[in-house]
Amino acid sequence: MRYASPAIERAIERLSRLPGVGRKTAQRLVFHLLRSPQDETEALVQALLELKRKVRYCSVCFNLSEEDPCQICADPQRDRSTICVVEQANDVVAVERTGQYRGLYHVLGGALSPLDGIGPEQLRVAELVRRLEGGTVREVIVATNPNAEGEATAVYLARLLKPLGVRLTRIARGIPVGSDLEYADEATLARALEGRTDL
Amino acid sequence: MRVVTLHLTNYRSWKECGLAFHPQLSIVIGENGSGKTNILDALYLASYGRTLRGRDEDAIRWGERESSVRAIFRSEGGAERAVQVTLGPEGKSMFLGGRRLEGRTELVGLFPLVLSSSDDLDIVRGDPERRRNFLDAVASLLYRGYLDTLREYKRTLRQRNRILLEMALGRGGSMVSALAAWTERLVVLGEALLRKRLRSLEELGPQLSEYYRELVGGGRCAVRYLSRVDVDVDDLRAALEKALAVSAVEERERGMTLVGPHRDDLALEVDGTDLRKFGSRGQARAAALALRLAEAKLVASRGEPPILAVDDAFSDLDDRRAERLLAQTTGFQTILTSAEEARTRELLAARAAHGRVFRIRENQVMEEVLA
Ligand SMILES: Nc1ncnc2c1ncn2[C@@H]1O[C@H](COP(=O)(O)OP(=O)(O)OP(=O)(O)O)[C@@H](O)[C@H]1O
Ligand SMILES: [Mg+2]
Ligand SMILES: [Zn+2]
Repeated sequence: MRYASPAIERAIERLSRLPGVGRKTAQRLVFHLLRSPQDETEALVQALLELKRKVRYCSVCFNLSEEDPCQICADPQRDRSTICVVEQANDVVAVERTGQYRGLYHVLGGALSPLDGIGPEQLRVAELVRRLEGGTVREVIVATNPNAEGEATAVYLARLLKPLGVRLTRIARGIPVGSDLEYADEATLARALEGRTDL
Repeated sequence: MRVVTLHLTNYRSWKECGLAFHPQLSIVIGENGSGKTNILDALYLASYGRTLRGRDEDAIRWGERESSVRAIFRSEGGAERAVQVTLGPEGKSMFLGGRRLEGRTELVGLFPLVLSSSDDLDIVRGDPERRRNFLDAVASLLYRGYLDTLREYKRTLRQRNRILLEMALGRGGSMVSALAAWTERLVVLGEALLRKRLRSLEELGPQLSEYYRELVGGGRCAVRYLSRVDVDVDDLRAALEKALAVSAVEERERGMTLVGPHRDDLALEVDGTDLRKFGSRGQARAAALALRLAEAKLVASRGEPPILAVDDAFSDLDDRRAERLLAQTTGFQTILTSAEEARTRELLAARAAHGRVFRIRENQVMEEVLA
């Protein structure tokens, strides 16, 4: 069914492009918005616009940030000799939540997955190698997800980075196999970081 | 483990069916199509959280909205627990006691059941995949984490195959540089699978031989692991690496991984004859039964003895073997089905077995007690 108002149609069409949102959900959202006060909707629009305007990738670690370099990279208190490599910006949040880690990060932007056309060039691997060339970094902790893709990525990085003379470690498999870092609870993730082993 | 009662409501052909099983031997007798396998199917659902045949929703009685199976199990120690599985328009829900379960994995293993059906002939005679699946199921009973490793291996294999396919097509680009990493993961996971499969076979083999001999009254039944990987060495990892290296050119031409656990098979032999190709139907059936009995024995060695269910128990077996099957099932609570009433009654009379007969007539179950 189509609505008489093109504005409604347009809003539904736009919203249903979002991941996990079908036409039904989009309709529900649109009618919710129509019923809400004007300033609610304006605040939402404002938030979305700011998202695009302000958030960018940190040019050092590729974490999402409003500053460049990001707060973590700019923090003089952080230990510059350790880099924790993760797949996504969400994983940085997860590791930070443990409160156990004081080093820097590197966000790969995913994991190797030939089925999705993802090879090393689709990830921020070259950028990681460049960060190690300075000689400040002594340990790289590979904290990719404990699933097929994350493990293969860890092995790939180990093979690539070993010759550079840094210590390479992998977080322990305390996290349930096949799950995502993002969903591990703090205590488990802290233990996994603690019990990391050499790659 | 024992199943004390089983109750079916709108499950497959059954509107309503309640059975109180004998602690040792229960025999369900009924004509073809009378619903015998459907009863075992329901028991399987209560134990494994999914139906034996087809999709879960196909088990809802035609024309009904919802179907449910309830079972009461009793452990060796005497503790009774109730399981209920409901299938409906909103899918499946499972309850243990009154508690709703998150998923099948919470249920599997609590009430162990080993079920032998006539489909098991395919383990002996069918594609290698059937034998691999059987062995994987046994290994997953013996080794915690085996299924996780298997799942990751299969995923890693698909990923690696994609690179090989791209290479075969003359593409691949930057993905090719990661091939060695995928290969390393495949080797690590493959080695773990190989090791556990071989250990499982070491335990299964002697049990298989013994049960086969006792069922048939002679004959040496043996099982061997078949692989392009040399599995007779200690360093399985090196062996797997070597086999992959040998097939490296061919796999790049054909665009897939040609050696490893996903390609392996089992040789089942009786007195040196390969049952996969040359066994008689009766031999194959006896071997299939012996495999299941051996599986039951391994399950028992790790915890509770499982419930043993054998569908169409006596088909393809001559009288002597049928009698021997009845003798072999002691040690487990056993539930058998048969479509041959006269023959089954004769067999029972000859063995003077203690147990209970459930006779299906016109969608009703009549219960008889054996002396
Ligand atoms: N969802 C369903 N609803 C109603 N009837 C069903 C359903 N699924 C299967 N059936 C019926 O159940 C019957 C088969 O029952 P079952 O396989 O248990 O028979 P059986 O006693 O094991 O026969 P056999 O001796 O041939 O193995 C078939 O007639 C089939 O039509
Ligand atoms: Mg049947
Ligand atoms: Zn940064």
